[in-house]
Amino acid sequence: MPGHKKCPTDGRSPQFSDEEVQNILTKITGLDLQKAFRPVKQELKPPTYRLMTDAQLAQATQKAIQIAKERLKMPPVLPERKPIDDVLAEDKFLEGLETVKYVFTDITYNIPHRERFIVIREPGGTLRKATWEERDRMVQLYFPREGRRLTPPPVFKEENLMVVFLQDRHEDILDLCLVQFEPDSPDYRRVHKLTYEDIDKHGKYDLLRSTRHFGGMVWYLVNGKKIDGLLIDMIQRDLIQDTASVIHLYHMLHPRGSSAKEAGEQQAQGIDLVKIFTRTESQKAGYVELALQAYQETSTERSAQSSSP
Amino acid sequence: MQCDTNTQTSKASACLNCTHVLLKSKSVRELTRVVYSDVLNFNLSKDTMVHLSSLLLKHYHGGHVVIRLALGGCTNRPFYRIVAAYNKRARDSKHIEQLGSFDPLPNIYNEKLVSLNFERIKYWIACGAHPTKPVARLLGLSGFFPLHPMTVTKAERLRKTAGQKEALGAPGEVSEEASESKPETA
Repeated sequence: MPGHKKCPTDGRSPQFSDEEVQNILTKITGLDLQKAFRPVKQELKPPTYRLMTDAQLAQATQKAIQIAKERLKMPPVLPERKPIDDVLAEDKFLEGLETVKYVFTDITYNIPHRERFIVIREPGGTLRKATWEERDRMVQLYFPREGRRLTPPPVFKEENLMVVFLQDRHEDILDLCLVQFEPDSPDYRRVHKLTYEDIDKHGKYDLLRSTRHFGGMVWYLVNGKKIDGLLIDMIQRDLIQDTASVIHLYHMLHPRGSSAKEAGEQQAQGIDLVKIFTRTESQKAGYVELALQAYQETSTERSAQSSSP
Repeated sequence: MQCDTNTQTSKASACLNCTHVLLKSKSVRELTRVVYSDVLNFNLSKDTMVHLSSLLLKHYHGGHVVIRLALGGCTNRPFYRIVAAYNKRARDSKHIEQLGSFDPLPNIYNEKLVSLNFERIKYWIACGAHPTKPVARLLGLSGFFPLHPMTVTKAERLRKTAGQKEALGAPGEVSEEASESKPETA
């Protein structure tokens, strides 16, 4: 559960939206242009070909990188919203006049949806503020957002999510969840939690790499102290810099742990950080050490091959 | 019609002043005839430049703006729009502005949906619009207005009739129970 541990050194715990945290997460996410601009289902058009010089090609690649960065902007991770139960008036003498609730929505154009007045008069006469679910429904009714449905599609039920995970379509379901739910709604958090757990269980980290959901996943795993599988996957793909960043993030979030203290004492960098972490706080220490050994062997072999012509 | 026909330049502006008098008595046809005569006679100064649309609008004698429910929808499926319109206009015809909606049939969650554009309602009430009784009732139920007295009265009357029914039913029930128990025992 992405919690917010209190850290006395900063005065406040590192949040998802901190600049340093965001930098680390963007670096880890990577920027695979081929995956970012994968053919998306859209209207069939014949492809356009352009003749470019090398300089123009470099410019076009730069522009593509800019657009990919926009698309890879991470959706916010917010704490769960507290339920609204605010009663504005209790008029007991109105009881029995109506058998239905009246829902009054304020459709003034220039107010943010969070501040809109949505009020319900119960048949018992109480005038109360609408709950979050009712609010979402009313706002979607009067100010419809493209792609969002009034009732959430049945994909988001547990058993149907399992089917989706079997098909390796985690990215699609997360995109759908982002469109359908608000970031602080319990449904959004539940779907994300299930997705991340499934990815962690099967080690399918590469599915989300170079998408906008990778940062959120890393944040969730680091908060839940489940980064072993991620580290193994990264070492196997020779992404040692990324492993160092992940462990640096881990130390930022859990500064009281033993690995953070040791790393602070030794001022370790890069692969030494990983070694300290495996020794102290890792759950699957054996696997991580094996992966590290394999990596070191391959790196020595490669350096030997490259040095001997 | 009082026109200063002394100078050519003042003729057009004077005629504009007359249109004010015209509105009260003559028809639109007369009005356009006056304006077009200026155009045809090349009496065009900057005073003649007239926005015909505002002159062609219907002006009511002693009318006022109301906020009321305009009925729409289909057979056996009413749907009301909360609308600011002139009093004399037909119920469903051209309104000044739509301020919301009201669906009298409850949905699957047992709710009647009312939408209200409070900012514009405030503006029209500030301009002197009169809300009708159903609209005032809805605004009272929403908490924007204080509760309408008829709402309170209806609730009291309902409770009174319910109380009377109970009172009538109770001695009737007692006698029924007595008569039921007698055949059972017998």
